Amino acid sequence: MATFVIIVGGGKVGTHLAAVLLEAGFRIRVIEEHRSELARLQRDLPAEVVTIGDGTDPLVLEAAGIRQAHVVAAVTGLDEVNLVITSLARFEFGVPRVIARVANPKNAWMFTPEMGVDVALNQADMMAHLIAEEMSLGDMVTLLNLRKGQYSLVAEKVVPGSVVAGKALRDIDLPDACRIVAIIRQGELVVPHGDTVLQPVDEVLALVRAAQAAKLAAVLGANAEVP
Amino acid sequence: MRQARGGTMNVVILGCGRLGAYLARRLQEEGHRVTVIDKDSGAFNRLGPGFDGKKVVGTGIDEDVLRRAGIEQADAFVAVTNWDNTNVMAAQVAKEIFHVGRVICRIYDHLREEVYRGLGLETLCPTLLDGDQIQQMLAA
Repeated sequence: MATFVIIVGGGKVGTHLAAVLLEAGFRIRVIEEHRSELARLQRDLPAEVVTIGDGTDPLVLEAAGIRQAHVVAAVTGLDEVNLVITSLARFEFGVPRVIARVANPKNAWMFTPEMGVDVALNQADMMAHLIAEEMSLGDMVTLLNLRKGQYSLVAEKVVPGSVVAGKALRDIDLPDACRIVAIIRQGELVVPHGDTVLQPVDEVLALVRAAQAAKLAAVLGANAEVP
Repeated sequence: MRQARGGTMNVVILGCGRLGAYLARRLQEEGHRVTVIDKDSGAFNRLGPGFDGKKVVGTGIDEDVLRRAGIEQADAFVAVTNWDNTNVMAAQVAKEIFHVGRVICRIYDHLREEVYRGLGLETLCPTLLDGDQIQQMLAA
């Protein structure tokens, strides 16, 4: 029998999740109380999967079939609502797997097993980390250590406004025990030559003697003087 | 020991509706220090001119709002907004994060009240209390 998932909250997150799960062959039900969301729900999902009502009301949850549910996902935009759903799902109805969306990252600490939560998805926090990662230019990453760490394959992004941005490789004063082996530019491999010009956010892969890695990082990360 | 029996207590009340305002006035008359939180500043009118406790505008599920209300020095926290879910979450914050000695939480829905009482919250359910009372009145 297909896994039965109850999704509480039929906003954009809930509707998208429902569509993905339906496509993947899950049995689902979406609970939503706000009339404003119902029109979109009824347009995007089969009528029989939508339950109208307050997902924190135990009677509504029962009517939606929570006693047969394998998974409950509480994805409304209100943390107090999501947490009441998770604790009811776990402690009143014994749902085996309970997943919740953290709407306000300040409230993330409350999404614990004591509140019935198995998995908390902190959207804002995940986004923030992904964005921070994308912005982490100038940090050299070691991809591989060779010969017990004597040599390293490293990667570093070219910071916009750095000294090396716009320079040809032959004009860059690299450490002597260092070779630039590849450049990833907009997801494509560029095989470097002396006349290859570095561009901002190029990912530079270099083979370097470990002792000179810091010097390489300094060259690639150096900021141009602000005129 | 802050919470001396019969002594003065610091009480934070979340929700300045009819019950919250009535309770605030009564506790103040008994000599306790009372702070009231409500997301609507207009709600404080219910306290009347005699109330001289602290009034904090904000939502009670926010740690910062609770801090401004002096929850770190509170002996008791009472969650009596009209929203069960808000009361439950605010009570959890008061209990788990700020370790307030007494935390009391109103829950209208008797099914939810049962669950949260089971989870260790000190709850009261007006629906059950009123229902029992009315039943007794009818039986008398």
